[in-house]
Amino acid sequence: MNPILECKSLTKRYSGFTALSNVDLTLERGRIVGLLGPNGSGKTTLIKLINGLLVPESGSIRIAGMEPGVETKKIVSYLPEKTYLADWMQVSQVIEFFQDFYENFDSKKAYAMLSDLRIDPKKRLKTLSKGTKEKVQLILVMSRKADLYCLDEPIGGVDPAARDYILNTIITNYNENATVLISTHLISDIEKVLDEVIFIKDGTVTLHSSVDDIRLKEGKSVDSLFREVFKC
Amino acid sequence: MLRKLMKHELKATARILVPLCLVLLFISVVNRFMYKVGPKEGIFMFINGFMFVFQIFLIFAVLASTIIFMITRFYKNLLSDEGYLMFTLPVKSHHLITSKLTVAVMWTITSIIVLLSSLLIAFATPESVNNFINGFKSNFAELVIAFDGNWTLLWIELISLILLSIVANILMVYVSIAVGQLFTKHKIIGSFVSYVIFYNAIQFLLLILLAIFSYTYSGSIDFTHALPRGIFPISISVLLVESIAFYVITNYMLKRKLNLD
Repeated sequence: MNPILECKSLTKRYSGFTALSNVDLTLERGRIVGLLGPNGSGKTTLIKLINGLLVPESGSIRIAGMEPGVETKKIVSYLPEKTYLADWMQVSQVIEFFQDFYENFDSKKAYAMLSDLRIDPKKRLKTLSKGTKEKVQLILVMSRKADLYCLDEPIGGVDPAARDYILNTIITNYNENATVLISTHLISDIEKVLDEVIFIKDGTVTLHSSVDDIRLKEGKSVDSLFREVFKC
Repeated sequence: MLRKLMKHELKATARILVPLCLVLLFISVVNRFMYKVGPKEGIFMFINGFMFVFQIFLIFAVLASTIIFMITRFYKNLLSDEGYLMFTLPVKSHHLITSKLTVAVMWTITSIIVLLSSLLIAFATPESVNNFINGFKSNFAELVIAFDGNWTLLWIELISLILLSIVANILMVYVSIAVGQLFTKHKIIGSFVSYVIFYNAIQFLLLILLAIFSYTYSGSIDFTHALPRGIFPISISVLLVESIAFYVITNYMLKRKLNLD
């Protein structure tokens, strides 16, 4: 099977500013990968490129061997850092929407998670708090049986108790062949679930390694290595 | 997928527009009876006046909502945060445009029909309807002469003209917004400026084409003489080319130059 993600000298510029330069990156299937870097380092740009929301300047990007497009969108489940649901909709209407467009969406799973987190499906999005909306979005994204999950800052806005549930949801809800790419700077919270980490700085990948290797070679946790590498 | 997109587009717009149209039609029926049977003095006159104002207000509300939805369903649903969902659906970007365009055209036609019905229901008398039909006929008689008595051609051209004007106007709004979003900081101002430029460019182009046609046809650039044998086909062709160009540019912008915040 081809790798789930393959970037070759991937470059993206915004009017004069280089957000990503010459990124070479390959992600295998069945991993939980942390995409770690300070604000403005290019994490979101990389995730947007994977999801076809941006077009690269040069270089190539392949998801399961395909260029981003309709076919890759079927197998990539994306959680942006934005609240992307229309506020006039009810949670149940959003579930219907996802079911209509994504063949791999499992609405039973979504309803089960909603009841775990005590979210009423009849409520309108506009009546929910920001944290609850984020939980709803994460539930929607994790209720798809995707090959690649891209989670951009999935735990930033929710309380620590819900964080544990969400992390647990992430590691128990993806199948063996799926890869989860999590971008965050809350490393200590997420470190225990990661198999691999990618450090990204000023648009270039500075490190791509397994968490075990870091612990063995460097003798320290990912969190302390991150603090060292990105020291201001 | 296009059908599903249209279904959800209809849902998102119908929740406001359907109740609004129904209330307008209901008030129009009520007003009809109030004018007929209501006493014309005291408190009843006041209620009559209030209901009349209410009906006019609703007519504006229907028109305004149709226009506002045409703009916001494109701008907010595709180019604000909601765009993160819409552009990661497994659908082609031209399906997004087509679904929104079709539903917007449908609502424009519906609201015009509802508006005319509302006026007819509330105010039409046998005389006024007769006057209207006669006026319509006499105007048409001139047109039919210009068309050498060819009714079918006249109808085809007239209906194409109306439909294409609606389509072209909506697409002009879409392309302006799609170009405006390139301005990272001032997207709304950018869209507005783009609209003014597109609008004036098209008007200018149409004017030149009509003048050229008129000159070759009658030796004078005063194209009012060339009405309507020339104006109809020229306008139809310009609208058609314009619509295709706007559609293609909008699709290119959304596909290759998307710039979500």
